[in-house]
Amino acid sequence: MRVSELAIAIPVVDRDTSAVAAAQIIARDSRATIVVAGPDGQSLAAISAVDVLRALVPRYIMDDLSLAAVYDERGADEAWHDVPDRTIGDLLNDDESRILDILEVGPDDTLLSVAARMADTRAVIALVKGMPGDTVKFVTLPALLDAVIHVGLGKDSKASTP
Amino acid sequence: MTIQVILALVVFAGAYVFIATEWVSRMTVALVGAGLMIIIGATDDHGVFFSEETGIDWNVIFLLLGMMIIVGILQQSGLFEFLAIWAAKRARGRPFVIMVMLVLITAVLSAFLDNVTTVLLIAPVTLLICERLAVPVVPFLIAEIMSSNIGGTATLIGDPPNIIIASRAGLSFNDFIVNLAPIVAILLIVFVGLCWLLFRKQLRYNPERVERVMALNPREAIRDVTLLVKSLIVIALVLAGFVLHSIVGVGPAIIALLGAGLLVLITKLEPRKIFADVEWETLLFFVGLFIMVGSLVNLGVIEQVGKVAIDAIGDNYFGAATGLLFGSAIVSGIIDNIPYVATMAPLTNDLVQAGGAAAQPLWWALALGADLGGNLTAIGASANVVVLGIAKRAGHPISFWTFTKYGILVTAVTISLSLPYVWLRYFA
Repeated sequence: MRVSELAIAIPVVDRDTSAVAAAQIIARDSRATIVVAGPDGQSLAAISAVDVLRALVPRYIMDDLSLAAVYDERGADEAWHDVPDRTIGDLLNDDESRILDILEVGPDDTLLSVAARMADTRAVIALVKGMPGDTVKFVTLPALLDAVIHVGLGKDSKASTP
Repeated sequence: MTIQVILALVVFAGAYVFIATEWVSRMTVALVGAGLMIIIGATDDHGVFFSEETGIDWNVIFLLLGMMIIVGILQQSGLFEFLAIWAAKRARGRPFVIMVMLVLITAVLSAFLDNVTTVLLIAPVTLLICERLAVPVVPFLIAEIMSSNIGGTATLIGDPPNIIIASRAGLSFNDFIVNLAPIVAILLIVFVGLCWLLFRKQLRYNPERVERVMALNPREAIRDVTLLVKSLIVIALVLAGFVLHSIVGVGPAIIALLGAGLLVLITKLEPRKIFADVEWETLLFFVGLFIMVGSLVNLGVIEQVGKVAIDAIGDNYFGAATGLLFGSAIVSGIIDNIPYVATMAPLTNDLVQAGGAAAQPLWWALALGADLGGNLTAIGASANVVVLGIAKRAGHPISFWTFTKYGILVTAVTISLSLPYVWLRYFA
């Protein structure tokens, strides 16, 4: 299997996108990461969904986790009304965010080659460069694993699905 | 003046410039400076490790280490958060009353624990309370920083400069309580009045928001009751050891280490949690600093400066105390008060040795000036820098000048009030 068969278009945000808007995309598409484009429109980096979540939790709670327990149910719900007005750019500048480099692969690369490189670099997403047309396409980790299982692991293996 | 002395002075002055400008970490500066002092022959291995006059002050290092371990374990219990929320509820949501209670809690905790840990734990819960009350958090944070610096002045363990002074001067925990706690109590009362003058217009009472504070449950902040009880028992024993130092005949550093050891033993925490809050960089900064200052002592530079100072002062020790009080406040507001006091301590020791009992108040003038001077600017003390960082991350930035305009006023008032105290207490 060639990786171009797995490549899909996914939403790309920019530095000015708010953390709330990014969270909506993540929630809607059940994504583990979100891709950020630079000023030139080229893919710049990927941010983990957990880091987007971290941007939404009031900062003083992140500084002192025990404070989350002192709210009652109503107060805890109200705390979300004051979500900090942070952007993806703020997250990229935050030393505590885990910025993930985007691995670049070619459309003719084999599944094994891309799987090996993603495993080696611990990348959860890869940009497929050189696809026909203008659309920017990516290989995501779930799609890759699905293909791996479909192509090889399911056949004459001892693995069984629960 | 020999080439060696000139080189040592260049190294020392250069290190001060780097520490003040923070171009590189202060630990790196102090250790590189110490290394250069050894290379130029200003000190040697015996002088560094074994000399009381010119070497590393192990009493200071191990007292800090012991207290860092104890405080690091205590802070995992949730006590600080409990106290702050309890205070806000007792004040029934009235902002100024809450501010006063937080100021007093911060000051008392800072007197017995280190200032940075205290503000690091009080600041997030302050943000929570202010968010619940819909009142601006900046006045609260500024007030807490300043009360931390004032409260820390009261005891031997409250502020690192006091630990250095105590070790160099041979002063006990009780000496600090007897000589500094009374003026600190007065300064705190005056500071509360200043808070009312400076911040009252920003602290509007909003009855509709009070319910949101009253709904908070402080008991939930306590993460581990057993750990809290064990920590408080050990801290009580350590403080008793400090107070009874002259009877038990054991120095503060050993008492702190025994307390830390006991707490480690009875809590059975894993090493990662025990040492999580030990600031190794700070301890190594002290090590480098002691070697650099010790080198100047070894070369006779401090003695020469001391002789000049003794000739200039004569027997006018009140004049010297006034100069030390105001001079220390200004210098400590601009550069870190730790290297300043580390340098001034051997010099002050020469003056006190020459003047006897009449010159003893110079130690208290140095402590008051250096500790209270930390409030002068936004970079005057570590607690200031830490809280300004928390405020910025939380979306409530406090600019250098916003802090400093309050700092100049508070420092001017507290230092000016300390002067008549020193005069009435020791010279009148």
